[in-house]
Amino acid sequence: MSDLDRQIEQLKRCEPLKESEVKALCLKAMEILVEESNVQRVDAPVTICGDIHGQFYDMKELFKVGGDCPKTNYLFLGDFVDRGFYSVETFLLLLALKVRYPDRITLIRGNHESRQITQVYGFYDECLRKYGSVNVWRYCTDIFDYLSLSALIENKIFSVHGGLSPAISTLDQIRTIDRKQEVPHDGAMCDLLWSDPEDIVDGWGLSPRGAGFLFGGSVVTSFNHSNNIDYICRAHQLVMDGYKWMFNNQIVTVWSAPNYCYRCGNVAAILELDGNLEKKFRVFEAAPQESRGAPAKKPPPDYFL
Amino acid sequence: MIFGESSLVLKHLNSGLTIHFNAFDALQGWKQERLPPVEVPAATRWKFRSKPSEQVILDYDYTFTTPYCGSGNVEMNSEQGRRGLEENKFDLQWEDCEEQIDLVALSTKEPILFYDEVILYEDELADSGVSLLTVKVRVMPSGWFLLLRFWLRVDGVLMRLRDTRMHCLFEESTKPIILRESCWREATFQALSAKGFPVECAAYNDPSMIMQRLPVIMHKTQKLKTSDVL
Repeated sequence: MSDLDRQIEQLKRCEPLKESEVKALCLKAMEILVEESNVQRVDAPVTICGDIHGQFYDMKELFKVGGDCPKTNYLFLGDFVDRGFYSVETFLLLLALKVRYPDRITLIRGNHESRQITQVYGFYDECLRKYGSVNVWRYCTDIFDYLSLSALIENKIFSVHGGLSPAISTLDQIRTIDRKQEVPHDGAMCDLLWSDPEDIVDGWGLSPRGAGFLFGGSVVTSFNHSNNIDYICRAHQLVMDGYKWMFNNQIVTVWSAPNYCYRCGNVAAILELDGNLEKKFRVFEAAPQESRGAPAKKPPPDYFL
Repeated sequence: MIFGESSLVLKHLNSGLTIHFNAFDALQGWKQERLPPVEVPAATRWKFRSKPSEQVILDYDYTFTTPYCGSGNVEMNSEQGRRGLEENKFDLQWEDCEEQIDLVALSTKEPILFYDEVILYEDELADSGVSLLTVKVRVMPSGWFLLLRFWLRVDGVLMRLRDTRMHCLFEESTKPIILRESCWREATFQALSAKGFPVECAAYNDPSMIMQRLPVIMHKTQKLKTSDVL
């Protein structure tokens, strides 16, 4: 058994790798990811997965439902880390699978694959807690810069973490972005990872925060038409049923973190596309409490004031 | 995420007095207060970036800030009760008072007979911070104490903490007294930076730890008028 296969087995048991192993793994991953396009070509059949957010044991449920990699070809739409308890093991397992089976798993970048966001929402603290230093966080966030920004399945289905950008009307414009950097605060690369479809908006709107675009149905129609694609598949927003179509089946949100943050009560979904791009949503629930070794449900009594 | 089926209900069986906490009443308060939206730091740059037709369309307080400090009523369960549900429910009356909740007494480690924490609603503000409304309660041999807390952090912009504490001492000799203290705190990251405090959002995950850094903008203590009911 090769070192890599042994590491994959170890990660599947939710045991993190040694710091030196992480460093070596990231170097190998970098060589593979740097070759990928900003619009990475993906062949069908493929199974598309949305946000995971460090919910390792729920990702194991996902693999139970969807099948193991490499037997199943996977596309993950980003947000592997933050919020859940096992961001380290989750991301390293996906990355190890990528290095072992580069043509059978595609990882694209979510807005949480960023130095700034991970320092606030959990991954940084988790690395520090599990390794006693931030080196692993550094290796991983350096790899984040190499992750592709989107994928195109059989030239027909455009996949991205967040959504569209007013600065982008063709896929070729995405191909020209220099992605090897921290996610910027504005511009096309930021929009692809952050923006949201919104019913109330027709064209483009700005979120009430004053930053972040919202796009309406007409924007999606014209993007799909000019790029000759059937629909857009994205993640980024919690949907209680695991997936949600909008704008007359022109865009679908896929969400793969069941019982998000261990309390939202939602189910999760993955989208299976067969060789003819026939769709099948597979809905699944969170791993049972006893199999996840998670902290007790109820907080202990506390002398709060 | 609204946890609409979660609530905390305290009921005094003899009098029919109920104090309760639920997300929908809290969101009514948000709707009535209607604060203007808080702009994130990048907003200034985005104004140049977007065309006038792309300006803010959803112009609401996405932080879900609420002045909510609990719900309650007194339900008469005597003969008058037959007149129909709506007529025999009365709102609770709170009056300003001089007394303060005795936090020193509450610091003693007497046994906790019952404890729970309920999340009423929370929002990730699209990965721009946190908005969270929770209520915690503990019951000790000497009385009960609860904390309803609205906690808001808009990354890089501001933090808001709106606490409502209620305390009731079980005293056999006298009528029970229920005190309610509301304390609102608020600070911008800019103001914290001016005072030399750290400005990284990661330093502000736990409101209990950083509460003292946020200046008080409103404080009042009230007593429940129980003369008519207890």
